[in-house]
Amino acid sequence: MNCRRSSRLLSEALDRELTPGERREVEEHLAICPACTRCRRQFSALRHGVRRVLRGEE
Amino acid sequence: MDSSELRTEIVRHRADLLRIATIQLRDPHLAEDVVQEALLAALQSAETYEGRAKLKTWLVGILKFKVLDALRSRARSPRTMTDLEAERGTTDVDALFDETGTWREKPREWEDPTHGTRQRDFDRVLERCLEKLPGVAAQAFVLREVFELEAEEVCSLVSVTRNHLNVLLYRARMSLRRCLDLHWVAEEGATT
Repeated sequence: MNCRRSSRLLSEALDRELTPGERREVEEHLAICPACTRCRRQFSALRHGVRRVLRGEE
Repeated sequence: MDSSELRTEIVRHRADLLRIATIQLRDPHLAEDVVQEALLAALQSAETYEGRAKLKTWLVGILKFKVLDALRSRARSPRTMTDLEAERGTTDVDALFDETGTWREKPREWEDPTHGTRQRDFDRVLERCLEKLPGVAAQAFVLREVFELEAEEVCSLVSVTRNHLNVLLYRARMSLRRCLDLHWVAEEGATT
């Protein structure tokens, strides 16, 4: 698992359930990669931010 | 809010609705028509607005159905990979990683601010970043994240395979996070 694949799976995890194997791979990678952990937080912040900006949610 | 105030408030959201419809339909004239229909529908059913959701959220809900009708009635041929390549647009995702697949420039530390001036500043930067997203990526992203359609439904509306949709959504998210890395963090740095 590298950062490119990890970031791709972090995006896909927002649209589908990852397989147990994919989840394990990502979790193992996140445990040693602060940059991908920040990428996951950013994806999550984007989801909230976009819904607030375009949909008017709090 | 009395009925006349509510009607004024509804019309006041026209620009917000037009922004979403334009991202979606990529046709300013069609977007105008769809927003007009949505506003008319909202004005006609204004008495059903109970004030539980924010007015903008209620209006976006009405707009969603009008946009989906327009997308469904617009016959489209399936997109080819060439179309998708043309959508690379803002961020070349591959360029963000080195040959081993490691970040060339690591994502920065920022979160979605929960309130106040910081949130307004963040929203302003995010809005600018959204405007820069290339067409079909923006369309797929809004259908998924704003209208919360299931991935399969988005695939059918924008005529892409599931794998292509995953690529589009990934590119959209990476473009947005990169744009915020560059502009939100930079603006934060400039003010602190």
